[in-house]
Amino acid sequence: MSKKVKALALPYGLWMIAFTLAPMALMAIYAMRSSQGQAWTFKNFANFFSPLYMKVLWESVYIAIITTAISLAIGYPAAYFISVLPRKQRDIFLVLSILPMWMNFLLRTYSWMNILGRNGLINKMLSAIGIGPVSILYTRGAVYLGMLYNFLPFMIYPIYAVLIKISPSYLEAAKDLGASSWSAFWKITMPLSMPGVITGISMVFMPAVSTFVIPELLEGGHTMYIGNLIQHQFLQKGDWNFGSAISMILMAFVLLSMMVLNKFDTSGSKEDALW
Amino acid sequence: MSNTIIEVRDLSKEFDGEVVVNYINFNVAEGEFVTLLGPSGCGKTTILRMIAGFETPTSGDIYLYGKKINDAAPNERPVNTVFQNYALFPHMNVFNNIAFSLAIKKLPKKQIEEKVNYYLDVVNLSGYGSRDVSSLSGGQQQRVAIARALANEPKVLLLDEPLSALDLKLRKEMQQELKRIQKEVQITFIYVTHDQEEALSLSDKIIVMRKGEILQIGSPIDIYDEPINSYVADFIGESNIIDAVMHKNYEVEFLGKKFKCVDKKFPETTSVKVVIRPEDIEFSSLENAQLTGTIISSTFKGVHYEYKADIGEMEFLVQSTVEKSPGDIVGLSFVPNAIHIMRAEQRNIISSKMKQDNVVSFLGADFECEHEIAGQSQDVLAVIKPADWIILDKADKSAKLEAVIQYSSYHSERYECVAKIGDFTILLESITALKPGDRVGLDVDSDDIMIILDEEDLIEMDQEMDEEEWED
Repeated sequence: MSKKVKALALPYGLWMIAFTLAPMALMAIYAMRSSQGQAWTFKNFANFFSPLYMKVLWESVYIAIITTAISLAIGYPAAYFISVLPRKQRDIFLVLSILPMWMNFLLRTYSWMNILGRNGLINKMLSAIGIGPVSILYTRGAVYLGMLYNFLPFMIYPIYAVLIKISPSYLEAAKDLGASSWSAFWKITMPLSMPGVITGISMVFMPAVSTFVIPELLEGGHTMYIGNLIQHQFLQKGDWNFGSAISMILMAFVLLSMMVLNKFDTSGSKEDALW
Repeated sequence: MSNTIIEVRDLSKEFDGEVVVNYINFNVAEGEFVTLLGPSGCGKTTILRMIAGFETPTSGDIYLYGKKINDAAPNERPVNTVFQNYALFPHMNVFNNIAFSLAIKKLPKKQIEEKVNYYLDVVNLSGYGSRDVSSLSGGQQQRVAIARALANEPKVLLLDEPLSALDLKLRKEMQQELKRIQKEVQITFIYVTHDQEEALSLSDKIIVMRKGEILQIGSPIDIYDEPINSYVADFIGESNIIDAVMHKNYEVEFLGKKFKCVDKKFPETTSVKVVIRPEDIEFSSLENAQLTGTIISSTFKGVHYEYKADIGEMEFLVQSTVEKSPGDIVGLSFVPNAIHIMRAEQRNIISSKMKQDNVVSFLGADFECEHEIAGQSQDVLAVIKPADWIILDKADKSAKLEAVIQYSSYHSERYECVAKIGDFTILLESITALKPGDRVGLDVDSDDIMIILDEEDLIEMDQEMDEEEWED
């Protein structure tokens, strides 16, 4: 690599040191310090492995898995549908699928509060036909809805990007060799699109497992998730050491689950995988 | 004569109104190695894809063992394809690629294993089963693609420029391999290529194509020795093409001299073209020479030298092992057998009058055409290819002209006829048999009538045709 290219990469290098590596190092130090004294300790980590906090972790993982599963069930067919459209329509649907992303994440979630609320759009429509009011806001369902709305494009896009690159000649070859459209899909398209599926799952699961704004706003914060727990430690309890330890554990957990996930790549190419 | 396995009848394909394959007819016999030869864009791959079932014909039919297969899906046809880019499944190893069709058929495991190993052996890749396809060389991938297609035990194997991605040496090697494999498995091969040498060395039958139409069908020797026109002659190898006239059988006149030849004169015309292959020309002493010329360039080709000799009216290409230098005056001679006579490109040129925009009148009838009257001149020439006449029953009221067949000869799966409309002689081609004395009705489509102002336009057009590139 020439010196010039290296020099061009310098700004990002500095950025990464300042805003990724340094904070992580700080977090690691905080996590291994006691909140009372200045002693090094693993107590913060050990504290997390109590039934109370394990339940918090489980709740987070649970809603993340459900969210990821639903986005996959909706996102894969959507991505497939878009990928087989003629060029012009494809572009339109692609833009439509990421259109919500053009608006700020918080605004999007706030507007869901208005739609789902007791005097919101849905309840107004329901009462017009004599039903309700139904409580939708401040339920688990509202959390799933908010997460899907926010994360679905992250599932559709990577799957689409892989599907569109699969050469049609593979499918022609499969049909030529006797496969029906259905079995050609399961034997060829599906395995070859796994890198996209895995990226999609990572991109949805990671933010879903650590989310705290969505449950806070749409569920009213009555269930504690790991994201809320971290926020709580930092902002309410002021226990930066324990908060840092939970963050580290969460990161390790996400990393581990991604490594497991990549074992499912059946496409034969490891180059596109995240790790 | 062996059984016909594939019949292609009046097959046409249009993409967005553009005709890619135009009214094609040919047969393929069981066990035959047939090559569709032509430049890229001539429609050969489209024909293959229609036989495979990946494209639907715009019109016309494809028969397999006499049964129409137009509407059968690709997976319902006993036909398999070796794709140009191989299309090996990247997520499967060699074994699973070859086993794909067998697994679809849900054969027992042991049988699949036997078959895969057999075909691995056929393509000389025994022991490669567990290899990743991406770890194979181009030639090996090619072999896997062939084995995968053969493993399905098709009646016909379609090969779409299978060797075009390989380098020259490997290509030669694979040519031999293909021929051997075809003999071993005894399956009908339909092969698509733009490489004339490949076609000549592999095929039992070659179908030469240009712009969606068949120019000639014949054995490699037929095509090489008796090309139907200068386009085929030029495409199928280096050649000297000379305008000539033939007034009687076994004698042809060109470059101001008379030469003995082995062909009879064509009954309908005296104007012909002569093809002499450069390797059929020998240097001889000046007194025994049939032509004399001056060497203007010399290129060493390994086995022989290739010379250009100026013989006054044109340059001659000569291949010889004898060494000559530029500037040498040489005698050239060739045996009567080396003179190949072809028809000059046949066209009907008919004096006509433009009646109004897009309506032309000739031989007493009005025809639609695509030509607007320019200026004052309404006298024009209508040019119609012999194959473009629509031949109707003589009782058909919609026929605009009636012609009487004078002479008919069978050539390359079609009848070439001379016919009279009143006193005017025309040439026409027919797929169905016509014999002298038959009366037929004729019509012609508006886009098959070309209107020109004088014969010079025609010469210009011919030159443009000749300059067309053959290469990709």
